Amino acid sequence: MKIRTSSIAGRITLVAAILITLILVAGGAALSLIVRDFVVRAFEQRLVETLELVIASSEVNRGTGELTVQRGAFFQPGIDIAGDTAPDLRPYWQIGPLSEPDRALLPGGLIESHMWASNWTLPIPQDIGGDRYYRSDQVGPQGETLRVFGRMIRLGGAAQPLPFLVAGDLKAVDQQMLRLNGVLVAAFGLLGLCLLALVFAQIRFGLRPLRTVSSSIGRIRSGESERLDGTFPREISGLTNELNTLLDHNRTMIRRAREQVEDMAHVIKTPLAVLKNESDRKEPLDASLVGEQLDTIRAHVDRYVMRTRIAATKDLLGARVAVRPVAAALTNALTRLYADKNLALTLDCPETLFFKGEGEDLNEALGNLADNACKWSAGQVRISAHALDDDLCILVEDDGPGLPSDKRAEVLERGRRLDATVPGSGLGLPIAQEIADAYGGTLTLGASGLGGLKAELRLPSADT
Amino acid sequence: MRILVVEDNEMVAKQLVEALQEANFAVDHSDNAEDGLELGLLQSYAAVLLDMNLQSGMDGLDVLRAWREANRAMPVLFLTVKDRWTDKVTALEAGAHDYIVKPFHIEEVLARLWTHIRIAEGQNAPDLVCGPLRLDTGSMRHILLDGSRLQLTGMEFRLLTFMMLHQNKVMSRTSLMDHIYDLKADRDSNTLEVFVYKIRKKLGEHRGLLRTVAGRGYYLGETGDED
Repeated sequence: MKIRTSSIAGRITLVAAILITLILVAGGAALSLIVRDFVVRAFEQRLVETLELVIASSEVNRGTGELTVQRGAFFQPGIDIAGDTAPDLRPYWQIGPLSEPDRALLPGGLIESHMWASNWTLPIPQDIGGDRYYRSDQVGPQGETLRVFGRMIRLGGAAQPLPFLVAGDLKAVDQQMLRLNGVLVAAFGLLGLCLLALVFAQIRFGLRPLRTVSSSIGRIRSGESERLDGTFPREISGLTNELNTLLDHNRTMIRRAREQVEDMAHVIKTPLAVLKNESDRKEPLDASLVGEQLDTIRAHVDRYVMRTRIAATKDLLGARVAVRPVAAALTNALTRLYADKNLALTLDCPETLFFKGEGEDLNEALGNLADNACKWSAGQVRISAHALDDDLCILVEDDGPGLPSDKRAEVLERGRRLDATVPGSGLGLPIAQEIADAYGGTLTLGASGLGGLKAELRLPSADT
Repeated sequence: MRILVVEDNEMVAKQLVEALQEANFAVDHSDNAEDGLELGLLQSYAAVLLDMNLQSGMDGLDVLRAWREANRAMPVLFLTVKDRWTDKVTALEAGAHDYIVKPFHIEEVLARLWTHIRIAEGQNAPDLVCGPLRLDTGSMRHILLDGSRLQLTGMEFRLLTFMMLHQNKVMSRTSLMDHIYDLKADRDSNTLEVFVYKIRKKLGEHRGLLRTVAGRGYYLGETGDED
């Protein structure tokens, strides 16, 4: 099965599967090691108990001096210390063999209860003497590994201590472990599967809101719905809220753009009608009339293109631009453009001022005002900006002839009505005014301390 | 003065070239960015009219930037349909001297062109004057001597304006030829002497203004200092 890593569910499942497998394998191995330790101890315990039983069952006949073992004591049913162990894995025990002087003690030289093979005896280890049980591993007749416990015991009536040995095949431990490991693997495997199923269920349930979002968007696209409906978990409500805001914004934008286009279609009908009439006349065309009407159309198109753009972007989240870089670039550009006038163009604008809108609009508004100032200036133009309440206030002043106060209102009004005087009228003011209007700002004209015109542009400002 | 026009619109180019020639400029025209770039790098021009939106691989801004990188500092005037200030600022920051929005009045182009040529040559006063000589900047077609028009041919006008722009400096024959002939002109070096001779004759009593500096070139100026 190929897991699609491009899906979140696929990724989480893949990682979970790897982790679960690692944890369970490591845990199972550790558990198996611990269990084995217990099994080995129990096995050794049984060997030691057998040894003690053999010792307790042995006695030396005081008359004959012979050693006898009361086998019945531990070979009776019910007390067979070998338990249910397979016959060939039962503990083996032996007393002896004895060295030459003690040979008489045991006629056969050896007493044993149980042998794996005839004529095979455990060798007596060198260091069996001492108070404690001797413990070691030896190789048995079939090459199996035997765990051996032994002790030298002097029985009452005996002249010498006798070696008591007991041995068990470690295969018994392995067999038991095999069974236990089988159980462990089965249990852990089942646990792993359950965990994976749980992870999968969690993903299905946990990611369900995302599927809801995508189906909601699908409904919006097919026109069944306008927004993302329903409540969403906290983690994605930010996303869905933003998406809703964006959708609302888009709808508003489209509506405004449509309105602007309709308005434009409306206003250019008049000059188009004039042109149509002119073309219907039999006489030669009046070139100046045609030119005038074309200028009007062009001015309207320019104005509505700009209005549409501003309408589309003015509420755009996060649209903001630093004023100083824009103003500085403009100042440089104008200095070049008016190189022959040797203008002293000064800029006074703090770095911390931001315009809440598109840089292009600021460029356009300020560019036109400053261009106008340069055109009329006798040598000095001053651009300054400061924050005023929540607004951005930009002043463009020159030392040119200026405008008498009654003319100022007229200039702005003429620009607003756009009666074919705009292109080439030499005043960039109407465009700046248009932009100010679109942003809910203002453009006012006054007298400058420099002697010429002062244009004051107020626009919304953004926080730093 | 020699002007380069890089413009791929045939109509606009024709209009510009004719108007410039009529105003006594030597004109080279290229209808694509690559050739225009090459010409601007290899030839000497008093100014360039450069279309900003060329249809081939490079646009006007690329051409301008390449020139500026190669330290070609001649005035470059952009011709463009884009009339946003953002575009103007970009163009001027790239090193353009001016920015003329289409459709333009050819008179305005000529006036601005002349202004930038004049400033580039260090002549800051709007009127170009050399002693009794004065260039009529209103029409850009006549040179006045003591207030009355000199009757000059196109080449004579071109030569004399160039010398007025570089007055009080010795101008080599090569640089003179570079600036008064366009690429297609038949360059016969002897004709230079002929032009100078005829101009001197027309200057009459002021003939001493235009002097030949042996082995170095020509000099226009009132003072005798030829260095």
